[in-house]
Amino acid sequence: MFDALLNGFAVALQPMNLLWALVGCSLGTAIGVLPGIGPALTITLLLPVTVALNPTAAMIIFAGVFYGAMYGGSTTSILINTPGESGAMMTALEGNRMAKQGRGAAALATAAVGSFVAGTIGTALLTLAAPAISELAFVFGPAEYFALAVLAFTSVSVVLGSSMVLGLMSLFFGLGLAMIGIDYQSGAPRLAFDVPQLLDGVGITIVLVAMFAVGEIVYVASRRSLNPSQIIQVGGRISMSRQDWARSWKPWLRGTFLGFPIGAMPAGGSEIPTMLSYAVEKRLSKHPEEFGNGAIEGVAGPEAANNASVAGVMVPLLTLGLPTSATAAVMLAALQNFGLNPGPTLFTDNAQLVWGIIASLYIGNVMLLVLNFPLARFWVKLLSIPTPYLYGGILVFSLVGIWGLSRSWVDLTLLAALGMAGYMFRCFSVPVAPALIGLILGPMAELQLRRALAISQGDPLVLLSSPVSAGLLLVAALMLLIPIWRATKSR
Amino acid sequence: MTVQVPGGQSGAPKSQWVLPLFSAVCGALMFAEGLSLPLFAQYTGLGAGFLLVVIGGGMLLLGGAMVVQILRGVRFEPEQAEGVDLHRPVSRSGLMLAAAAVISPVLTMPWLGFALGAGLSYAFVTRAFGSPRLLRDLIIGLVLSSLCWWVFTRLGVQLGSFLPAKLF
Repeated sequence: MFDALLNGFAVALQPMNLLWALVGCSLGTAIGVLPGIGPALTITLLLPVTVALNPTAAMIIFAGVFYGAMYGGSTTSILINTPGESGAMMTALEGNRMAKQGRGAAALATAAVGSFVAGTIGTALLTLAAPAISELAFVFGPAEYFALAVLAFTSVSVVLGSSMVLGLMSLFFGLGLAMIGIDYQSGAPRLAFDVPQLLDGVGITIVLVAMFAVGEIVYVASRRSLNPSQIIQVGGRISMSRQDWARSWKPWLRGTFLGFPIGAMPAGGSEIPTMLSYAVEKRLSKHPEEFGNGAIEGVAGPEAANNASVAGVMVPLLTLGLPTSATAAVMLAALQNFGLNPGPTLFTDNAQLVWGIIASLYIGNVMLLVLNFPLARFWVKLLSIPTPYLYGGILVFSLVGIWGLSRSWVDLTLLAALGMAGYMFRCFSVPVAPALIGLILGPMAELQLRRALAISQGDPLVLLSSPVSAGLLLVAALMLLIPIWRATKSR
Repeated sequence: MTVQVPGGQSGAPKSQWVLPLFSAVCGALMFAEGLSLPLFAQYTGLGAGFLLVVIGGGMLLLGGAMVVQILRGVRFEPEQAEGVDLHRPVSRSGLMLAAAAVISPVLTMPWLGFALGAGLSYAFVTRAFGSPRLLRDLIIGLVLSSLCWWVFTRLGVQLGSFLPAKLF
């Protein structure tokens, strides 16, 4: 494993790959700071324009964007009290109070160092855990892969969003989109409506750009706030006092060990570990009265948990091809775009790529610390870009990506139609991630189900014949049935 | 977010029915298409239509479940996001202009080329976000889209003709 990691460093330390890591980290930090743009949208917009790069370089950029967005998100949470994503809510709660009390520099510093510590330890845990989990390749057959996909479907649909019905509707919509095109086995067209361009199916890039970028543009334009955010100015050098260090290091470590395993779980996400970390720190703090009024532990712990959860997300993504968040789903799509087969075989078939990405995560963390400590004030200046220009620019980049695919009016029509669907999803708080996971994993699930049934000559009990597939399907069924049982019981 | 309100059906705004309708229409479409294809195959067990029937049936059921929820007083609320004020009424002009920005490339880009089509969309978006200077935004949009065309075609992205293909 250490030889493989060293080889990974040899790849990641190549001058061009270092440059791509810097590009990804800078871009990630910038989009973390800017409102309305998340890592999923950024990677989506980069997908079509990175086709000219080799897969390793592109994935190094994407990983940098993913990590960088977490760093950048904390800056806006602290200085303007706008958590860009749910994982930064707790940081905003305490960090913004600290900034209002003139302790913004300490809040930014503990967030940056905590992110570095958590990111580095999380990456080390990823290094240790990933190869072991990828050994599952030898256990997994078609039935196990199908069961894994079903677990991903149910967990993401049930846990993400506020309603299981909405999550499932989003999932089925995504699965339906995945059905469009020629059935690979019988050659029969499905949902193509005699449109030749639909016979190849709906491109993942079109769906991603439509649901993330276009849906967001239309939604924000129709409900935009007329009150601009107030940015709190940070005076002096961004640093921490001896007391701040003493109060921060334990929360960083505790946050890391909460964030990593929860992030690695299906639909674990960053919300639960950050909230857990906040609750733990509040309970263990010698200054519980400061919580709600600007406690540094309330920034250090959740921020570390947030970053560690990102490293955790990479474990099922790289080892099992299992996306547990919207950004992970987009990264999975990116791997597929490059013709790579995400899952256990990635470590054996594309070892250089995987270890190059892992090594670049270590390097990216150092880069992000350097970029964020002295340059926090510079990143905040990005907020002065007028919103109309920002969203106008996003649409132009979206059009570059879609028009550049095949210069087809059908693609543009799909972009508009699915973009309006994305708008509708936001109007009713329908989570987008289940649709993406249905779209991305749907074809794999269908393929593996058919393979399993073909091997067993049509016997559906083959899906329960191995302990692994039966166990995964049982967990999936419980995830679906327990909320229904609870709702029925409470009525 | 979903919230429970007392009153049920009598208090449900019309917009609440959009989601179950969407689910039911998509579901019916998939279900019908699935039934028109073979459901089972000799060797592989499943035919091309099997999963379509399952997915379509699922969406129909979910549409029904949403109707029941609405009748019981559940409301599907809009999503909180950065830069969004949920207390303000929906800006119809903002919505229409943003929709125009998204739909207009279908009509313009194949005939006017990338630069004009994307530049026009840019101006629509800036207007939707309340920018008052249409002409200036149009010029910025044209400059930005031209720059994108120039940079990305050199990077190997095929963006077609820069200006109307039939004129130039």
